[in-house]
Amino acid sequence: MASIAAQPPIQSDSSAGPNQPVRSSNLFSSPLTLRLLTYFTVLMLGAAAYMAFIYAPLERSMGAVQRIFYFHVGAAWAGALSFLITALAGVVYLATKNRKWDTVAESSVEVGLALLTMTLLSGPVWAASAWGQAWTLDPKLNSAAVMWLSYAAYLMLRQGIEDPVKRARFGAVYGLIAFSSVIMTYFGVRFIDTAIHPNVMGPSASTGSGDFGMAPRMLQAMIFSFITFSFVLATLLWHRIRLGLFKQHVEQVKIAKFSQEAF
Amino acid sequence: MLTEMIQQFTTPNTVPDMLLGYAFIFGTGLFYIASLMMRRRSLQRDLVVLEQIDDE
Repeated sequence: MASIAAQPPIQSDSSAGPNQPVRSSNLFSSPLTLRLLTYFTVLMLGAAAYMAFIYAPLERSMGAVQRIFYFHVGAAWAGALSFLITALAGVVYLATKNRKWDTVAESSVEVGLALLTMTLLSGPVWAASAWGQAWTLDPKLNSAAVMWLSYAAYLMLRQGIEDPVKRARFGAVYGLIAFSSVIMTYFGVRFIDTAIHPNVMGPSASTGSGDFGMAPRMLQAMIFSFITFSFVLATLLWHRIRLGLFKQHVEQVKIAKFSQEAF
Repeated sequence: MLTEMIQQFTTPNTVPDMLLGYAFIFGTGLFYIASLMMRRRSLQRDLVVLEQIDDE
């Protein structure tokens, strides 16, 4: 009885057609590698916390609340990267019709949404302290909220489509369109000079240059946070993809059982 | 003059705000990880039930 449950859900089968339920993937190597990556990511998070809380100097005008910056921006970076993966996986799905890419796209939306939630929840705490109000009608803030809603809608709308092929096609097209909200949030708002949310990297319309004059240790902590959250993204995404493939495997077993019973 | 101004400036105590911000960040992360684990366990239970049906 335990044999099925104990088996790894991802099994190699390159002979499956593109529209067959996903049984396999050679893309995602051994669970040992995943376990090692998970442990490494936890260590990286510990080191990033050390750099944010201890290594980086205290910001003089805002105080300790500025330390939210390191994880806030790191999560925003990884969220955007995750949505880029969604768009790319959507393109690959449309080209190959292989459902594993739909699983990658769906997984990256879910992980990206979790990371963006971290950003959107921590940002207002910082803003309330630094600006005196948690939320303003700033273009970057509103654009980020639209981005969150767009990808939350992606997950909800998918649930309403029963046909897996239609669902995957819808997800691929939607993922591409929704990526415009990412471009708008991270690049488009730079051209609006009324924006008060600072741009961490690159120039803004109001200053013509980067808005952050960071001390070297702050910059090092920020870069380390970027690297750490890239690992967080890779780890969560890998776990989520495996879960998605496992779910397909269970559905496949269910269909096989019930079709046997029908005959 | 400038030195006096700098000395008079006191950095605000915003440690509670920082802790709240990080509570949201880690809380969201832990919630998501718990949701992944619960879904995996639920699928494993489904597989066991399916095999029990097969045995019967």
